[in-house]
Amino acid sequence: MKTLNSMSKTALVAALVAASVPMLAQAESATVSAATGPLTTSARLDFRITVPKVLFLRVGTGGLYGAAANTTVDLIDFTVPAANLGDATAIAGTGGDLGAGAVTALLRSNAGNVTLTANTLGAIGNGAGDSIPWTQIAVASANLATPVFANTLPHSVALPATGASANFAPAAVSKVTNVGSQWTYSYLNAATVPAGTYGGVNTNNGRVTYTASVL
Amino acid sequence: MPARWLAFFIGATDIVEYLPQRLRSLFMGTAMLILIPTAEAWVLNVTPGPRTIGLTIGNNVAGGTPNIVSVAVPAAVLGTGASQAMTSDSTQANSPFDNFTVCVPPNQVYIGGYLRELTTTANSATLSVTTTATLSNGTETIPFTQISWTSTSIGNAGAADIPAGTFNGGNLVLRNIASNRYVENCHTFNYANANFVAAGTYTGRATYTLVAP
Repeated sequence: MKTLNSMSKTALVAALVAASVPMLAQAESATVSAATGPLTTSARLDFRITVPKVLFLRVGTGGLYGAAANTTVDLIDFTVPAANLGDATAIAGTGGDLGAGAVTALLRSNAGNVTLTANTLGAIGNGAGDSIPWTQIAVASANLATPVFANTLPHSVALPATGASANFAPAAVSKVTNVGSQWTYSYLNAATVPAGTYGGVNTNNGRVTYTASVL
Repeated sequence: MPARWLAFFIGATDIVEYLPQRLRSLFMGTAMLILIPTAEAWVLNVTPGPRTIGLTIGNNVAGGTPNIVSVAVPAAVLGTGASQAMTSDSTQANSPFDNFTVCVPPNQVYIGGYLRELTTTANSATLSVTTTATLSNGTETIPFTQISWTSTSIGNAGAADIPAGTFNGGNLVLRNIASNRYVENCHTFNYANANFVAAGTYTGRATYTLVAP
């Protein structure tokens, strides 16, 4: 390889620069010349951030937004003491991810107003022809401790006798919904009903399905 | 790869004035001239000439269309604060200065500028970038402060010539460029993804400006 001395290298650089610099009149590359006075040139760069539509609903056991889907369905159990049967003493439940008949309720979306409904298939049966209407299951709403939410997703509708309830999702703010509450279920125990086990794990109409949708 | 002539500061600053710029592969194969690169930035000297400023952002080709830097945020991490690397449609890998490969597109966007004058003077040009406060999807917005960049270039191990930073939603001075110097870097952009924002395609524009007094 031929070795260049310093002077020849300098000359080469000068040639490179002289050849390349004046050729910079290109897109988003601008060259401006003037013998005197200020010189200003500019070039632009565009930015794009694509944000997908998302919809996240959690009732009971589950992860936070972004976690893998959790298909666990919690069971809320009520056991009526014989002495209180039908005396309208509200019966607290057991079970739920928060215990004592309480569940975590989270709703998150960025696609505008969400529709959230509670859905049932009819009165809760005992498999022997007897039933308890869903109106006997009350839902109280409160602040959520983990994750921390004020009571921003209150269960503001009664559980429907059958079919879907009214929408009870809060309105989105700038198309974003990010709300949560603790829902605690209780049995109102207003009527003396035949003995038996009403409902169950997806049996005897004992399941409430919460459905969230967004356009 | 074409030989790149670069000057490393190797302890004696006057070498910069006499050594040609961007020594690269040409001398790596010689036994007679071995310059040990140190962790210093390149110094790219422009031959004095008619007073001129030049600026290149992204592709160094005619056509007038700005390059675009983009990211599609995965649904599972939206608004979690998990920084999202952005990519671009830039294909500019080589420096317009001497065709040396400096960037790795499309993740890196080439940025370079110079001020040429008849003689090297105390003048300097100021390189800055201006954005609006936000990117917009037509209705909702994302602050431009959510976009930052790192700065590097192949073979230039020193501090970035055009430093890393974060858009400020207004005008941000990046650096001054001395007369008869060429300054360049490759910027890799990131979206901070700090907010759970409405769905949509958010767009915005950064305008880089080089001003000489």
